[in-house]
Amino acid sequence: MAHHNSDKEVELSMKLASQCDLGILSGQFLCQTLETLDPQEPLICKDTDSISHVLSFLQDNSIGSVLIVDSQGKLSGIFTERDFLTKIFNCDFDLESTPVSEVMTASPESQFLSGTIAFALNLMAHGGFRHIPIVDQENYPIGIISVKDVVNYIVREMNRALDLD
Amino acid sequence: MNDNDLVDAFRLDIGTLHVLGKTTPDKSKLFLSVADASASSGRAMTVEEKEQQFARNIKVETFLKHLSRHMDVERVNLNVISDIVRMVNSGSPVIGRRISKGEEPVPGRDGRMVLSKKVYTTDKTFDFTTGMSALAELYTFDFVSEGDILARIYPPQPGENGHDALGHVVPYPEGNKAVPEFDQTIELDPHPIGKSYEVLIAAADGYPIQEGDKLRIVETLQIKGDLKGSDGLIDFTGTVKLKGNISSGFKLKAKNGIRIKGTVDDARLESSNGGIDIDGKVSGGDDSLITCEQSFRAGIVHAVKVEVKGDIIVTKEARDAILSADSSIYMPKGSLIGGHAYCACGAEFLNVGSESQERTVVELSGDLEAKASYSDLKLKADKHIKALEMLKLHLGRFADNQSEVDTLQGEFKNKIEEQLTRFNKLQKNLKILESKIERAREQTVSSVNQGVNVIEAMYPGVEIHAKGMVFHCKEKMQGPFSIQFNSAEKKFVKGKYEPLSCTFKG
Repeated sequence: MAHHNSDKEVELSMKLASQCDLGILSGQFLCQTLETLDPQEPLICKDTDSISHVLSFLQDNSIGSVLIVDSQGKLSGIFTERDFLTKIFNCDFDLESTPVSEVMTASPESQFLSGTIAFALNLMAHGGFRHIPIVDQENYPIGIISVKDVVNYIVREMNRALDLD
Repeated sequence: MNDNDLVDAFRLDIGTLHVLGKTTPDKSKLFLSVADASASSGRAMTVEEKEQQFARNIKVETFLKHLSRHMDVERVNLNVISDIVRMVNSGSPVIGRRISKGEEPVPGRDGRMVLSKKVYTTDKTFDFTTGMSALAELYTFDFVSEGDILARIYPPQPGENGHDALGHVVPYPEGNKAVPEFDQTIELDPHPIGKSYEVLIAAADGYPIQEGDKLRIVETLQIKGDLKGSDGLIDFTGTVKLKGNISSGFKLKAKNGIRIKGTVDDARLESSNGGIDIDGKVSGGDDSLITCEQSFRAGIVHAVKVEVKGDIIVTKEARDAILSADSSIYMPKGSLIGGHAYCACGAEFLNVGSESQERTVVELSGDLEAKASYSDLKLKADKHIKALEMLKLHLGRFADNQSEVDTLQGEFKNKIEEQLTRFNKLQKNLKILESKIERAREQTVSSVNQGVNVIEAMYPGVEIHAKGMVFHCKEKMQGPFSIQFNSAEKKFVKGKYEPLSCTFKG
C-alpha cells in the first residue's frame, strides 16, 4: 500500500517536538493529527466508470478531484483535473468507453486520520501533489485533504485567537 | 447438474407444449425443459398434433411473454432462449437448458471505529525507562486535551441486493453496528453537526490507551528514569510523575502538574494549569526556569528562577534563587539566603540571610497586584496587545495605511474592511483598559497587611522592599517577629509575630 511510513513520521514528530515554537506554525500545530483539519467526506467514483462519467461528476459537483474505488469499495486511485490535462486532453481516448482506471493515478499516497499534519504537508511538498486521501485501516476512503484545507485551518485559528470577550 | 437435485419452479403450457422450469435449491440457476404434451404423457402423437408440430412457428417474443408470467425475463440469456425456440419449432426436445443465473447480494459493511489519534496499545500503563529509544516511543502515541476528537464511529454501510434466477430480489445481509467500549474519561457524541458518523471525545487530558477493545484516557504520564536535554522534550496535556532526575536543559511541560521524585538541574519546567512538586534538590543554570499556575514546592532551591501564580513553599533552603509568587512565599522551616524573593501577599521564613551577611532581598509587590480584579484587567490588556500584534501581522500594509483598502474590490475588500474594524475596536478597547488600570493604581487603598515573618533570625545584608521604600537589616534580629509595611504611612513596622493573612493556594 503506497501509504503512511510510520518510521518517518516518528522521526519528524520527534524533531518537531524538540524545537521551540515556530510562531503561528508551532510544533504543536504541525504534530496534530489530520482530524484537526476536519477532512471533508470524499466524493467517489468506481474504477469501472467511464472517463466521461467521471468528468461529468467533477463538473456537477464543482470539484477538482475524485477518489476512485475498486469493486469492494477500497481506494484504488485518484483522478484530478491535472490527470485530465496531462493524460486525456489532446489524446485519442474514447471517453465513453474507456474506464477511468486507465487514466487515474493508481495507488495514491494516502494517510490515516491519526497521521500528522506535518507529514501530510511533507508528502505534498516532496510528492508534488495537492490532495491526500484519508483511509481507514482497511483502505476504505473516509476523507480527503488538500493544501487549501491547511491554509483555511491556519486562517480560522488566527481569527479564533482574535475573538476576545 | 443432476435433475434430481433441482426443484420445480413453474410449469406453463404454450399450446401443446409443456414448459417446465426448475431451479437449483438455492434458486441461483434456472433450467428449462420443453416437451410436447404427448411426449410428456407418454402416448403417441395424434395426426393433428403432428400437423401442429410441423406448422409450429413460435416467436421468441411470444415465448418470453409466456415466461414473463413466472419470472423477470430481463434476466434470461436471450441466446439460449432463441436456441430453445429454434429447437421447439424444429420439433426437437429441450431438456434442462440453463436460461438464467442469479446474482449474490453484496453484504453490507460492518460499522467501524476509525481512530483520529494514535493510541497507546498495551495492557499496562506506559512505563518509560531510560534510553533514547524509550523516549522515542513517547512520540508514537498522541497526547490529548479535553474536547479532542479521539475516534469516528461509522455506521454500517448498505450492501447491494442480489436476485435469484427468477429475478426475485435477494436482500443483502446488514452489517453489524460498531459498539465501542470506553470509560468515563471519554464521551460519545452521537450527532455531530453535519456528519454521517458519531465521534468519541476526550473528557480528560492525558494520553489515549487501547486495552483489548476498550479505550480510555490515562491522565498521568508516569516516567521512571533520568531525562537530559539531549533526550528532547516532553509536552504533556495531563500530569507528569517522574521518578528520576532531570538535567542539562531538558524541557518538561505538563498542563495539569508535575511531580518529581528526584533532582532537577538546569531544566525548564512548566505547568500551565497545575502546580510543581519536587522532592529533591532544584538547581539552576543559564536556561533554567520553573513556572506554574498553582503552587511550587521543593526541598532545596539553588540559583534557579521560579515564577508561580500560587505560593512558593520551600522546606529547607533557597539560596541565590529568584523566587516570584503572586501569592506568598512560605518557608517556616526553611532559610532564604541570597537572591531575590518577590511576593504579593507576604512571606514567612525560618531564617533570612546568613552570618556572612549575603545580600538577600525580599520584595513585597503590593496589595494592588494581589487583587483579582486588577489581575483581570492586566490579563485582558495583555490579551488585547497580543491580539493586536497578530491582527497587525494578518493585515500587513493595510494596518499602517488603512486608506489603501479603497484600492481593493469585491469580497476581498469586504473581508479586509471587517478585519480593520476589529483592529480599530481592539485599539479603542485597549485604551479603555489602560485607563482603568491607571485609575486602579491611583485609587489603591491598603487592605492587606503585607509583611515578612521571621521565626528564628534575620541577618545583616537583608533588605525588604515595598512601594519604593527599603528596610535594611543592620544587625542580627532574633525571632519570632513580623515586619509589616504600612502603605498609607509608607513605612515598615517591626512587631509581634503574626501569622500571614493570605489564603494559601498551595
